[in-house]
Amino acid sequence: MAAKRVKKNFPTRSDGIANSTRAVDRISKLPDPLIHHILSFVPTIDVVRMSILSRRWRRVWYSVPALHLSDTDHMRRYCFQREPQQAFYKFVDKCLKHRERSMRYIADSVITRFKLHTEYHGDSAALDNWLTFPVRTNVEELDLSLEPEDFEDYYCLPEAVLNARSLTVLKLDFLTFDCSCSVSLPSLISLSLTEVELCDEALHNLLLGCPALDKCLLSKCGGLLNPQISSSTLKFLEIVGELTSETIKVETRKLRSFIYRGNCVDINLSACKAIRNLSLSSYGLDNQKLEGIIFGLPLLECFTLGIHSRVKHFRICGQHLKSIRLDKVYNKEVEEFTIEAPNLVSFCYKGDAKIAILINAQDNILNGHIIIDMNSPNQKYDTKWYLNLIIFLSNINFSWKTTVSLHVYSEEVCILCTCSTN
Amino acid sequence: MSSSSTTTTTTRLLMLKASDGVTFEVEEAVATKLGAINNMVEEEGSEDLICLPNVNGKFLGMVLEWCKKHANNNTNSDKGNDEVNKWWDKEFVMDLDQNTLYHLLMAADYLSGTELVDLLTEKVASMIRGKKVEEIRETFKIKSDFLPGQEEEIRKKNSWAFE
Repeated sequence: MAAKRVKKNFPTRSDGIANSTRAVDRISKLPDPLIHHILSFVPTIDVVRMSILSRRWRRVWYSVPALHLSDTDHMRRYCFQREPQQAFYKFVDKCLKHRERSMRYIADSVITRFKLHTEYHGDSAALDNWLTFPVRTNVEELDLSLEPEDFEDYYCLPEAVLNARSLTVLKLDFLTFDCSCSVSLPSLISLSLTEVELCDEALHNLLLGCPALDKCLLSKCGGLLNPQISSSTLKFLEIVGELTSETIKVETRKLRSFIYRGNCVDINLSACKAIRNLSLSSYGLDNQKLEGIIFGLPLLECFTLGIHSRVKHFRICGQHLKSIRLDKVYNKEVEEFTIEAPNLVSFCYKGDAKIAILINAQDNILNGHIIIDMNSPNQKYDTKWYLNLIIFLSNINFSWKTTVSLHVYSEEVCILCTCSTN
Repeated sequence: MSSSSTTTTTTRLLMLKASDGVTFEVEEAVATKLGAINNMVEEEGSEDLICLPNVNGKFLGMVLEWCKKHANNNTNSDKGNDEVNKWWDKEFVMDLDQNTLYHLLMAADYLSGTELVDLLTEKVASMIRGKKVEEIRETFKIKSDFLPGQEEEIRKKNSWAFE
């Protein structure tokens, strides 16, 4: 099947070598590119300090292609410092100056990744100044997290960053930008915004400036009301922890995967005929809206549905559906799910037993995975609960390769578990 | 990741010969996880025996063990498999001594096994992160060859990093 030792011409001495050289300095012998690669995973403060290891290491930090500047790394190392924030600011200032100067005389001094994570204390001038660095040095991946000390006052991203032509990956956490900014990010492939304050126009404007975008994540972004997401290239879209929007319109012809967790009452995916993977979890969506969304997606293969209290009787149909997952359905009233998917190969359910699941694809199902649990430890395992469980299980076709797990808060329930599955 | 997907159906076998003469018979789909071998197969085509004069048999064996795991799991790429791979990788690098780590990294780099290089460099990085200079010296047995007073001079010059 694979790597198989066929013959051995000479006895290997490597085991002997390993023992005799255990105390040898190996890392200093590595070629520069490998050392730079290793140090691109290390916080910059540690990398700079390694300059006093030996002569070999003295100038190594000038060529490491990634800068990781995070105040939490510093806090851990400067625990006795009186003004840790000031020490961090001074470090970043000096470090960036040295690196920029070195780029003039060290040929392999390039920076491709720039990460800056710090608490924001309203000192926007210093940050503006630092952020000219990744723009001037043509950084490809930029990761900024500037959690404000005072949540009213977010740092406003300078326009220059939104016009950095070399950027391929942009990750922004805890900041905001002006919706009248001009945006031109022609190389950007991946965009991630977490807790970014932005309005509908700002998002629309931002996406218009990203003509090569492939992946977009919006997490807990405040300020969106009726966002419209338009892109001719986007394939992966994830909107999570979204609480302010009422409606969302997605107009991206090439979208293949869409994940949504939030509160909105209407999601318009009518332009996204190429979606294969859909995961929805919204308190706002009702039966009709959900069925409408799925009906409009002819190529849908994987569908995940999360907590949804407004859905009572739900029908999922799809020729291409291969995998369906229903998560945490804790409702007071009995619900019914009808699944009609001739090509289904995987079905997962996690939730309580007060539900009837009818699947019209039994013969083709390969794997079923059912977890019955409860949403609260206070719930009683009374006769009604047992009855529900029996009815639930009677609807399941056990000719599939199915596993049923009961997650319970009390051991007595297990007795029934064995009786009913037999 | 590479063009290997087109050739997996025919399960062609390649013979890889290490610097110490040890040979390995490997499925093409496994060996082409390594960029260098993938290039040789694409350029030279029919060559079945590939000599690798820069890699010792012991480490080539380990590199191929990694390739085998990752080639097999690539065929059905769902999330569960990703987790299994990550766990396997963690075990793979967990107890490597520095000598093995060094040779394995050199071998992976020579063979252009990009993902394996990432895994091994990250392992070395984890041995550095958050450590004091003295601890790093101790861990990697790095001897200071500075002239007397020189280290102090560098510390002073870059005091912003040592305060």
